[in-house]
This record gives sequence, structure tokens and C-alpha cells, in this order.
Amino acid sequence: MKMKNNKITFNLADEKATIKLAERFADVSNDNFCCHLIGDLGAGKTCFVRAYLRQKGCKETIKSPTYTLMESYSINKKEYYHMDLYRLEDPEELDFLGIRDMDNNNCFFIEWPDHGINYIIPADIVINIRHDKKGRTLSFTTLSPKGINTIKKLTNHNDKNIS
Amino acid sequence: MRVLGIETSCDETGVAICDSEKGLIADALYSQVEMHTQYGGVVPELASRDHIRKVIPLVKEVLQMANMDKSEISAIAFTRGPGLMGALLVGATAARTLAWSLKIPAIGIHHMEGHLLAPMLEKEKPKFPFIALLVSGGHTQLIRVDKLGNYTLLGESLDDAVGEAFDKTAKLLGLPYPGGPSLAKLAEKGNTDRFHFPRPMTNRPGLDFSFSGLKTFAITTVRDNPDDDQTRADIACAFQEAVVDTMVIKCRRAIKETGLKTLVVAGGVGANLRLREALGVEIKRLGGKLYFPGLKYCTDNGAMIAYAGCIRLLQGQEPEESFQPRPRWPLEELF
Repeated sequence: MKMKNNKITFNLADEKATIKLAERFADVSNDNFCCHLIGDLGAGKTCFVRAYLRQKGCKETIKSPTYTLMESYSINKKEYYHMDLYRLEDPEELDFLGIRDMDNNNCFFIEWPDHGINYIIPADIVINIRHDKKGRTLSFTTLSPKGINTIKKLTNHNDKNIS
Repeated sequence: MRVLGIETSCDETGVAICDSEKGLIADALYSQVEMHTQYGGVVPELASRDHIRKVIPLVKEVLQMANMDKSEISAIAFTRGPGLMGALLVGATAARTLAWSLKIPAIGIHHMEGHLLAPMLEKEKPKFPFIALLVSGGHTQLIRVDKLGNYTLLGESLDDAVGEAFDKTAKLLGLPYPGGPSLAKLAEKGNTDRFHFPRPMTNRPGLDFSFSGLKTFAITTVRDNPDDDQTRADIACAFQEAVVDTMVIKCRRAIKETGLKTLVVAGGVGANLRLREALGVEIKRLGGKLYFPGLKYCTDNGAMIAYAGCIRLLQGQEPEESFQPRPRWPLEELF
């Protein structure tokens, strides 16, 4: 784990490590943020979100949102939106999801945010996942006070098994 | 009875007219139609999910194809769900408004019911009860169909849909997205023996699927091997064989568990020729019968909605005045 200003980076050996980090993130976060996820196909973005929602207590099947563009989950009276803009050809299509009517105080995970730039809720936290020879590198970058508070808790949390 | 069907659940805008005596008499997808008549010679480029500007010109187009006036329509069927909320709203609003103005009934149809009834648009129709394998970009489900409206989910994908796995693996192999059909084409030149992909969730009981791991396996295989045409074809081939084999294993299991011997395959991936071939061999071996929709009715279309609406109305289903779309709508809730 490396911490630098508003960025914190983890090396993840395998899928299990991605899941473990997502669970830890779920444990310290208050769900009041918008998180953008950046990374190639198969980097583990959906895997991360799935593990997060499971840790929060989601019992339903958490399907890939690629086709439907968005899946929503209601867990303990809180709404979670899992979006994937990969198939979006034109950001205007987001109107078909009713994106303007959404309450920004819910929890959002948005994969492929660059496909919907200027139309989507701005990120409090950006998660960047990269493949490398040893596995994956995952970084959290905070862009707002909300994001900074969550990430601070992540660094205070003691778990040596991940990094 | 002549039913106008409107499908707008996701990417495609499809409209069709089904006649209770003659069957399908007109059908059109926006992407396939030259709509010069409606736009005075200029066909604008519309975003794929822009159903609003497509649906009425398409209704006019099918009426013209069928050589019919709108007053000759007896009822309207529209896709109520599941799908994208905004997209569903367009179809439902157009259908319901047309129906009110023409003083005819309107009926909301379940998109997946449309798909599983699509093989009935063919000359040789499957008979109830049967097992349906619904495979597309958004769905992977095995369903027991006892009769119209009586559906039991036997298994489904826990992560990526099979069509999505095809499209994403195609992308990893450098093909443009969505590249499922191009991957299938590339696989024809591939060697089946060079790579072996896992058959997810086949070594444990149950009828659920998982395809996300195959994508990861494809990434590793691409990364660890030389980047040349033959290698790409070999990977495409190994991937397709794994997917097809997995589906054959699950279908065989569903047939054994239910005792039903008729299998219906629908949805976009139902157009995959290798899947059709492999399932054909297996069903023959098991002494069963296999049905597919015509290739153009595998993907989303208005014809299946018009047809489903037609048979539901013939069976006496009462149309409702409301038109609440249902983005999430389990097939099992139908009756």
C-alpha cells in the first residue's frame, strides 16, 4: 500500500485480493459517494463492485450491468446504483435511464465513466485498476471532501493481507 | 384479429403486425428499413436508444407494408418489460396513446415471453411443455415452459450473459464491439486442440451459469501467447467450444431433470451456428426435438411482441387501461 496526497495504491495478486479490498472498502465507507471505475475489460471492476455490495448485505444475483447499462439494489433501505456505460454510443442516451431524476445522495458505482462524460454525477472517488505482470494494481484517487474522508478510514484500517 | 406489436426495451426499435389467421403480415426494425418516405428523403442518424423519433415512422412503415389503414388494427401489444425504463416508456406511451385514439385494446407483453414464443413464428412450431434456453447479450436462462404464462426458472447466469461474454472476448481479440458474430466467424479458422478453456460450473450440480471467468481466461491466454492471426483464431475457437459445450451440458441436465424432451433456443446467441449444430447432435442423441426461431427473430424484434399479444388476446386476456412499464420483471410472475 502506498499513500500519496489524495491517492492510495494497492497491489493485488489475484481476484481474491480484489474481493478482499472491496470488502474492506465497504466496511469503512458510509455509501454516500459516487465512485468512477476505470480499467480495461476484465480488469475486475464489476468483481470489485459485486464484492462491495455483497459485503453490504446484498443477497440478490449481482449481474453484469453491461447490457442493461444500470442495475440498482436496495440494501437496508439504501439505494445502490451500479452503472456500466461501455455500450453507450451517445451520452444523451443516459436520459433513457432517467439519470436526471436520480438522487445524488445514493451510492453510485460507474464503470466506463468516460463514455458519459459531462452527463454523469462527478466522482468523489476514482478507482483505477491496471493489469501488470504480477497481477493488478488498484488505486483510489479522491476528488472531493466526501471521498477524502472515506479513503482516510481505509488507510487507518489495519489489514496487512492485501498489500 | 390484427395486432400491432411494438418493441422498445433496449437498443432496437421494432414494429410488426400479426394476423390471427395469416400470421405475420409485416415487420420492421428501424435499422433495416429505408425510411425515405417518412423523412422526405433524408434519414437522420439517430442514437441506438433514441426510440422516440423512430417508433411512429416505423408504425407508418409497417402499415404501408401490410397495405393497411390504422383503423384496421384490432389491438396493440407493447413490451412492458424488462428493459431500460426510459426505452420502455416510449413504447408503452406510443402504444397506449394509439390504442386510446383508435379505441382499441392495448396489452403489455413480457420481453422474454416474446423471445421464447418466437419459434412459433416458424412453420414447424414447438408444442408445450418444453424447455427454453434464452441466450442473448443480456440474458442466459433455462426456463421450463408448461403452457402460455406458466414459466419456471431452472437456472441463469450469475454474472455475465453469454452474449456479453462473446462480445467482450471478441473485443479482447481485436474485433470491433459488439463482435460475437465476428468471433464465431474467426473461430471457423481455429484449431480446437491448441487451447482448452474451462467449462464454468459444469462440475457441480445445478443449472446456473457463470461466464465472467472465461473472459479472464481469455485475457491471460491472449497475453501469454504470440499475437498472430492463427493464435487469435485458435483462441476464438477454444472460447466458443467452451461456451457451446457448457450450454450443451446444462441443456442435457435440464432435460434429464425435467423429463421434457423438447428444447427451444431463442435470443441473439441462438443464431450461433456452432451452438445450433452441437445442440442438434445432443438432442438427437437424447431422442428429443429442437426448435429455433428464424435467424432474424433471434435478436430483439417487434414480430415476437405482436405474436405474443395476438395469442394472449385470443386466449381471452383482458387488456388493462394502465401502462406501467416494469424494468425488472421476473418471468415467473406471469400467468
